[in-house]
Amino acid sequence: MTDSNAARAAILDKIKNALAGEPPCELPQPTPVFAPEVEPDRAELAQMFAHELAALKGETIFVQGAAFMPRALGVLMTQRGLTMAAVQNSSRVSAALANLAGDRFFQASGASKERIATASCGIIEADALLSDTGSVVALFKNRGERLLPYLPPTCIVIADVQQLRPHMDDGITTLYSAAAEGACGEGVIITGPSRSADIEKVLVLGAHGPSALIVMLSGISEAGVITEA
Amino acid sequence: MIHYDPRAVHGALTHPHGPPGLPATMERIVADKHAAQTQVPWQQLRARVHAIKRYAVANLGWLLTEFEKQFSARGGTVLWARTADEAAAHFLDICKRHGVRSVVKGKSMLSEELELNERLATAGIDAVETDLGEYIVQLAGQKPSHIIAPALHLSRQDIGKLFAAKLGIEYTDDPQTLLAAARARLRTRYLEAGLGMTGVNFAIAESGTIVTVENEGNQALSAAAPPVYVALMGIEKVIPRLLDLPPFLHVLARAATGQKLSVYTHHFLGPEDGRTWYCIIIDAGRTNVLADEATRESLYCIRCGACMNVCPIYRRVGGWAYGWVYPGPIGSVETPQMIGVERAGELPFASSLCGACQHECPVNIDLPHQLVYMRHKAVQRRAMGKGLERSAFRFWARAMSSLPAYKRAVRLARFGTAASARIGWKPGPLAAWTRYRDLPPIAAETFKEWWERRAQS
Amino acid sequence: METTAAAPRYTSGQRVALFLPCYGDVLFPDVGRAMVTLFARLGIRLEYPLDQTCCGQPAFNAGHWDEARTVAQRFATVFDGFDWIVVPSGSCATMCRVFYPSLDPALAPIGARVYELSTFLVDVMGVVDVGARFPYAIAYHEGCHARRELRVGDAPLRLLRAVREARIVDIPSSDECCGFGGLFSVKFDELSASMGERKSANVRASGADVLVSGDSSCLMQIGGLMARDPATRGIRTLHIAEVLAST
Repeated sequence: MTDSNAARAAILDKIKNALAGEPPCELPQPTPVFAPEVEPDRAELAQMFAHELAALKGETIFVQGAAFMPRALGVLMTQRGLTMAAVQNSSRVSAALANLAGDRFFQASGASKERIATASCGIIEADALLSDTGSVVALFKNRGERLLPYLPPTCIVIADVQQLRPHMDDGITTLYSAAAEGACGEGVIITGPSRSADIEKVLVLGAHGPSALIVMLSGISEAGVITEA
Repeated sequence: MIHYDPRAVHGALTHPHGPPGLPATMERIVADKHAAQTQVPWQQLRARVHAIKRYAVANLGWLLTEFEKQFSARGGTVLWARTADEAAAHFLDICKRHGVRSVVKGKSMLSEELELNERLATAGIDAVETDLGEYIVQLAGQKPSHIIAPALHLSRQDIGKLFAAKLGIEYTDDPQTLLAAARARLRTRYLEAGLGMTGVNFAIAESGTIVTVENEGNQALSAAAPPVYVALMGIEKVIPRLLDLPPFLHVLARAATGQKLSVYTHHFLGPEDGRTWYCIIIDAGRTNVLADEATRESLYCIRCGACMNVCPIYRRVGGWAYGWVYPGPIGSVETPQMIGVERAGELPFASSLCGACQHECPVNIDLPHQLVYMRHKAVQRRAMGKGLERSAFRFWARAMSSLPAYKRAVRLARFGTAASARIGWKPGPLAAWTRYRDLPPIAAETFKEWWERRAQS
Repeated sequence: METTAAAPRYTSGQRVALFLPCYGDVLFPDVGRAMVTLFARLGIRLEYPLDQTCCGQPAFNAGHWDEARTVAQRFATVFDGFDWIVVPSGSCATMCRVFYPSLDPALAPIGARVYELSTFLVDVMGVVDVGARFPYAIAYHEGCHARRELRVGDAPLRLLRAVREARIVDIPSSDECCGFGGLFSVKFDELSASMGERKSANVRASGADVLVSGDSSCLMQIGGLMARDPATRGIRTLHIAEVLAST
């Protein structure tokens, strides 16, 4: 059995000797290096987000309000032939599933990975959306849910315009809070569907993760007008 | 000694498929990167990440122990390894302890340093690379040729033939179909493996959490599907706070591929319900790099690959010519720094010192200066510049040390070139030059001779 | 060193020494003569310490720092007493300004007094029009040291644009290294030639009559290759000092 403690002591000792006599240096304040000059309004943020995500071959669907989400989700799943969904146990997701028959979805939490692998789509909730990069920030605290954004070939994200943030740096604060409160599992910034360019630098989607990433954004009309919360 | 074989170089330059460093592809990647970096205040970001890395490396000891404390508090186990052997031993112990027979691997250049796959195979443990490029080179029994795009040296036809032979599928060179075949095979592996491992891009000291980035989703599945997770990290990967992360994220993907962000930026928080996490903190030569103030900056590297993408030498000879895990300019300095100038002292000499690497480096590592410094170390330790070259430079220094000695040297050079022309033989360097290029003749009247003549009149 | 208004300024009467690259004395004396002519026209009598030999860069780049240090320390003695030391070479200026402290911190002051030609004219003397005439199509190749270590910026191009009847053409992929790299050119000769050939092809594509550079070493590399190819044999190579000295 390799002695980790001996290695630890030896490595820390070598580090100490290597850095002995080094003058102290400053760690810069963790303020954003740059920020958007003017905070765009929420409708603009939504358009920016949709534009960025589209460039990555992801999709954004504007949904009038949370009340319209179950119908929109049902339509989407029918259109794309998504027969069985593995879902995250969260209030936004549960509300979105109101129209869905009970045998069309199951909770990822507590489900086996083999079962999750059979789902045609995973449905998750966003904790935040980053407009400048078209990213979804999400948090998964148990085994089943951690596999949701990756195993099924399509990933559907339930989100609201109020969750839009203008700047990628803002996404870090979400991850920070999770870490600070001692959460386990994984926080992730998802920026588009899975991709690889490892074969001759030709871009291909759906390497291991989903080939389709669809963000359903409530609180905004199809025409891009912010609606009442 | 890792040696630049002239025949291998010739082979690379005259390769029927073009130079293995894929210059046209590299040009495109660099152009994409330049386009992406105009979207952000690039120089300010470089300055910020450089300052954070400088602080982190200067405070490495307590940052690592803080990381260990926090990671452990979240339920993970930290192990330390001085050498590649110790790290591999830890890994094998973990496999044994948990009855692991198959491992899924996220891409980790550090695991290449450890030769982990070979060691696992010897112990009867099956390890499969899940990054598509790594999976391809593993199937082919080859080493990766680039740190970001491991299979860059293989054409789609090569890969088609490989998959037909090794996976038993019908031959195709369509990337989408090939990907689907790999994806299907690997899916089963994720679900069956007893252990998954990834590397670490950033280890956050204050929270004991791990940040890794990827595009494919294979790291996510390697880390999340099997019951046991192992993170391998070099000691230099730790940064102080989570809020120090954004500037790194702004530059990393842009420098690597021109993307704004990688598809998945993971923040692994801690073992969730019933899973077991380990983090193996590995030295393997890094404290040597740390100990020399002149080389310490190499540890700031964030493994983006930008330096090799732009390097005119890498573009011509490709990744394998560098003989070890890290190719390109960073490889040319870090390899001798980590494994010694006796084994790798020639690498820093294969450079025209053009400085494009530093210019592209998102952390602004002074690679040209490191290259010259490592040349100096190689010569100092008699790994390079021995024998005839050593004598030549001593003679040269004497010739440059007084006007009479200099003038004698000029006379000798005139005599030498005349004699060489008559005999038809040239000494090594002269032959090497004139093989491809004309050389201007020694002037009938040197500047000094003209100046002296003018002064007399 | 950057081309900013903060650069120190030459004042009339200060002593200016000419420093020539070691190989320049022997292979490119015309460049030295052009420097004398050019500065005379600008009202400066260049002094040339005959004892000078080399800044030490060949040994430094080859890793032989003891020999480099010996030669560099002699440089400091030879050029002691001059307010300004001007050299027609980005490489040599880089060695003095950027790398001398690595050899010996005591060399930093002398190193800081060495200036590459175009930087000296534009930033130190504040001169852009040197009264030159050169009626040809010129392509300018910037040496990597001048570009990346000294960051001379647009000083050379500003000087060339003020040359009467000269037409400046662009070299495609102009920021790529010519492949000289000192001893690299002979130790890794095929790699060096490969890089040089690409540069030659780009020079040819520019349509230039004359290839101009601030570094004779680059001209030696590119010119040496161009001389071997009938398609480029007719393209002349000249140091920028020679163009600026022309009337």
